[in-house]
Amino acid sequence: MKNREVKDKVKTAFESVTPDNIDNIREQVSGAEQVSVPVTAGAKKKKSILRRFILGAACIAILVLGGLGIYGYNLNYAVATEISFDVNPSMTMTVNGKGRVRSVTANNADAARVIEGLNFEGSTYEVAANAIIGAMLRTGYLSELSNSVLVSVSDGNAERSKSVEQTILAEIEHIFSVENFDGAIICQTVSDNAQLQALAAEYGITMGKASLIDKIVTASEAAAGSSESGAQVTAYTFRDLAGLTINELNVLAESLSVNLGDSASGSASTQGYIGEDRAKELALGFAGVAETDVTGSIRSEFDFESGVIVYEVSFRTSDYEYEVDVSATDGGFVAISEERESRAGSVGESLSEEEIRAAAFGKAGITDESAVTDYRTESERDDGATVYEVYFSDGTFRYELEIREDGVILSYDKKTAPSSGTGGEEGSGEITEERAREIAYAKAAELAAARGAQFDEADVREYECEKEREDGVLSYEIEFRCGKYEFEFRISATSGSVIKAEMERD
Amino acid sequence: MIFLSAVSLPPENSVLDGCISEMAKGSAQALDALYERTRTAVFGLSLSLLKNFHDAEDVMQDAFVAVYVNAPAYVSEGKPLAWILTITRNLCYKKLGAAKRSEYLDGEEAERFFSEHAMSPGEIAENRFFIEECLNHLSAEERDVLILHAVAGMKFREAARFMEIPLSSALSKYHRAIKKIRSRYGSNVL
Repeated sequence: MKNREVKDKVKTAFESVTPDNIDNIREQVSGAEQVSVPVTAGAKKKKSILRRFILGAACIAILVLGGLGIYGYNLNYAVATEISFDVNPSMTMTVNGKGRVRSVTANNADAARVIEGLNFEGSTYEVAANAIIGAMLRTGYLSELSNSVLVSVSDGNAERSKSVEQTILAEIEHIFSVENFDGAIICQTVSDNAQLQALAAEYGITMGKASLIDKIVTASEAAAGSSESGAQVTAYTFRDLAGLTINELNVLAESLSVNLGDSASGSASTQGYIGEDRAKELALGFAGVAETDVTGSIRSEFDFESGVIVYEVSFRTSDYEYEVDVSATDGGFVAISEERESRAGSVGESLSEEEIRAAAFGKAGITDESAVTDYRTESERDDGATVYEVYFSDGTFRYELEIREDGVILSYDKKTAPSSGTGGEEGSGEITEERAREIAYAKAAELAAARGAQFDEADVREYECEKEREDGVLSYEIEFRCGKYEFEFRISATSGSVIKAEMERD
Repeated sequence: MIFLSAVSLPPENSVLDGCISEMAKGSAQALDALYERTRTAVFGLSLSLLKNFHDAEDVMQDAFVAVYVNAPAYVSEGKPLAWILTITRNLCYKKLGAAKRSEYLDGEEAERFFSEHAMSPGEIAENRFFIEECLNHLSAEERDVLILHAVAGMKFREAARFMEIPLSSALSKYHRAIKKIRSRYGSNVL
């Protein structure tokens, strides 16, 4: 059942039990005298703020956080500023007009783990931000593999909002430098926007993350609109990106040169990825092109395709232009597009259905024709020749070809078919537990190497893996011990990216 | 867009403002129109706070009378629904006295409400599931935000202001409420 349906069913249920007592009301009203003394919502409101104050004052204990003592209760209870922190853990802090923290709320289960046992109430927001970032580093949510933090400030007062933004940016930069951590920070001011609110609620994310995704979607739409006709550029949708981590979003934002303002620092970690050189090598392999046949340079940038972050590698040979998408996390094949530079050429005789089929399957390397579904062809006249467009799918990939009447392939597209079901449910686009384990081991080896330790798969003990859906993201929780260390990973089951990586002395 | 909600009679603020100003002149039709648009919201909020069908019905009746009586004093700030629901909430607090929220009492008395409108046993069972889910398995704030948004049709910002909590908390509480009900719906055979 979708969220929307739950909402509608709750509404229907309440409608069904609401009694119809208008007759009684009419009766009472007919004898009633109307007032002329103002009784407004505002007057009542004051009373309930007072009630809250008394309750609140009784509950709040004086606390010490980060060595700071908090004195007195003459705090302004109104929330002036909201600051949300997103990594993958997501939490929102409310701050009063005097810069003191009123509350910190975990927006997802990861965040609940991070702030467990921490009490922020009454401390300054800088100290609280420091504690939160420190806790994310300790718990492994901020790591070499995923180093991006999104800080979103919402405040009716634009000047104060900007100053809070700058202060927090400086604070986090300071922690990163003390911890010798190469992190990336995006700070932004978020203003009221009904559409973003609706999106944030729909996907269960913060307004801040919704705003960042919105910026990336807008930039991708602009890029798609301005691309030259030949290139295949598809704009992202909000749904595509909602499940990504801040680091992944940051990688895309950098790739699209999204303007994040002056309150950003550092760059997104790509250490969890296979690297540009390896991606280029794999892309040539997928295209079946020898490096010596490539004319000009091989370019590569990050993109998002079929639910994963990819290296989009583009290059050309004398006849064709290629664009190959290679999964950034594991180097797997995601998509390829080949386009013949010159479409004009010799004109032959028209091809039979059989010949078209054979040419298409030959190019796609289809050996088992029984797996082919949704096969269809169309023909059109182009530059004086007949061109056949062929579409089909083999369960794993979707293919699209243009074949000229003399049998020359003008274009060839092969793409990972979207997994069945719309919400990214169990389907072919998901990585296996085995694959998740391989990724975890590879990352463990990297983490160990960074500490000058050895990681040997053969020594792994107490290995545990659990697949679970948390905050809409399907992931594998992997825990094991090796040597003197304990490792903990969380790997996205849809993209294979590392959400959490932790290495601790046993 | 998928965010449009299908509400037959939306509690549109400008319409409600118009109703209240007509009611201030003693219009009974305006009361009827306002009642039709807001009765589910008023009853829903009362039920959410009182957890008792009978008391909620009493408050609902008193609330509409109070809205009518106080209509001449209403100063439009573009938030008529918040005004009506504030009156409702205050009446609920009065009913509760010093006590906190009451416990949900399931009994013959609730039966009358569930079968208020002619419906199939299946529909009644489903409605009962969602109501009891809200009353028994959500936290007070989760329930309030869900009812203010889903049932009363308030925007999240309005709901957050009404509850005096930050917008982000309202959003996350709403999401959690939906998630809870959704997961329990899955494991429940109706």
